[in-house]
Amino acid sequence: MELIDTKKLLEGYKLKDGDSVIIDSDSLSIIKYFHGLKKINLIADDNFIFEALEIAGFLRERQVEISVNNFPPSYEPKLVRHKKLEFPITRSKGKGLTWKVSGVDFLPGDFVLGKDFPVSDERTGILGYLVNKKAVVIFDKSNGDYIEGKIVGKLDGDEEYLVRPNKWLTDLVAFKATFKKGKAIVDKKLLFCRPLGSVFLPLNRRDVYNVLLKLKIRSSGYPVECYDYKDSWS
Amino acid sequence: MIIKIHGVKGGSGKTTISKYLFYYFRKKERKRVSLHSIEEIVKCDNPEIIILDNVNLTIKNGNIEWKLFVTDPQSLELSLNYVKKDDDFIIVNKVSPFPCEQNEIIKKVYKFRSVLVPFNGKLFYEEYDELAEPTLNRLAENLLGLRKDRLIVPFQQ
Repeated sequence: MELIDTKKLLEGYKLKDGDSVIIDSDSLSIIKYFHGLKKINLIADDNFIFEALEIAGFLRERQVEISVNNFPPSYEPKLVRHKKLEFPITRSKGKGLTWKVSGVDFLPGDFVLGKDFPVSDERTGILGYLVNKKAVVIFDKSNGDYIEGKIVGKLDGDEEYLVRPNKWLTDLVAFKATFKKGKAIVDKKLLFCRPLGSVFLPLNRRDVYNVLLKLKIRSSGYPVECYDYKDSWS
Repeated sequence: MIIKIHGVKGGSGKTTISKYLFYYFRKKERKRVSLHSIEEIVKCDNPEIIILDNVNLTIKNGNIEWKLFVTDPQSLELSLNYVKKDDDFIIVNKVSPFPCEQNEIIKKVYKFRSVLVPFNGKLFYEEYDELAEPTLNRLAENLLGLRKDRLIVPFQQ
C-alpha cells in the first residue's frame, strides 16, 4: 500500500483501501478524496493535528475504519438516538468537519454558538450549555508523544478532564489533561485511538457525570486493543 | 434456560442487569421470560427463560444454565474472592468513564470471562426499553449461544 501526501491527492491520485495518507495541509476540502473508502491509515503531520483529527473523526463516524499514526484501527459504533433532543441554542456556521450533531432540534434561543460559547462546534456547545461551561480546547500541534491544544475562553480552575461526544450524542470520550499557560497537553494515544474531532470541553469529574446523566448516555472509552494493561493511562 | 444473577455487594446493579436482560429477551428476541426477584415476580406460562435476580429458587426439572456474578468497581477487589468456578461471567457494572480507571478494571478481570458495563445515564434512570447498552446486548447474545466472547468492554464495534 502506498504512502500518499496531499500534493499527490491534488494531482489526481485515487486512494485505495489500506493506503496511508499524510495529513500535511490546512485544507479540510481533501475529505472529498476519501469518498467510498472502507479502511485508511492517516499519518498526522505535527503541525496539522487539527486537520488530522477532523478528517479522522469525520470518516470514523461514517463507518470507515481509521488508524492514525499506526494506533489500532477502529470505526465509530453507530449508536443513534431513538428520540430527538431539543435545545434552545442558536447555531452558527461551523469550521470543522465534525462540528455538527445528528438527532437534535435547535430551537430559537439566547445561547448562541460562536458568541455565548467560544466556537461554533455543536457537540461541545451543547455539553457546555448543559453544565454552564464556556471554554474549549482546540488541538492543533504535536510534540513528541504529546499533543497540545489552545484553551479558548476562561477556565473555572477545577477542570481536570477533556470531553467530546460522538455526533449522535450517545457516547463520549473523556480523559485527563494537563492545563498550563493557556494550553492543554495530552498523550497522543488519547486522541489518536478514538478520534472524534479536534475540539474538547474541559470539565471536572462531577460535570462529566452530570453530562452522562443529563443526556442519559455512556462513555465507552477506547477499543480494547488500545488499552495496555501494563502501562498506566492518564 | 435459567439465568442466576448474584453477587456479594448491595447496590452493584444485580436488579438493573436482571431487568435489562428480561427486556432484551422479551422485546428483542420475543421469548417467554419470567423474572424472580425479592421486589417483584413477573411470571409467564411455560417460560423459555427464567431470570433469578439474587434469589435462590428450586425449579422443577430445571438446572441453572448461566451464573452471572455482578459487582461494581469499588468492591471489585473484594468481590473477586467470592467468585466461584461455576460463575460463567463476572460483570463489573457502573464502570468509570475514564480510560485510566477502565484500564485498571481490565487488568483485574481479563483472565476471567467478563463484561465491563459502563456508567450509563439510561440505566441510572432505569430506562430499559431502548436497549441502549451495547455491552448487555452482547452479553445476552452470548447467553443465547449466538456469540462466544471472553471479554466484553464498553467500546463495542
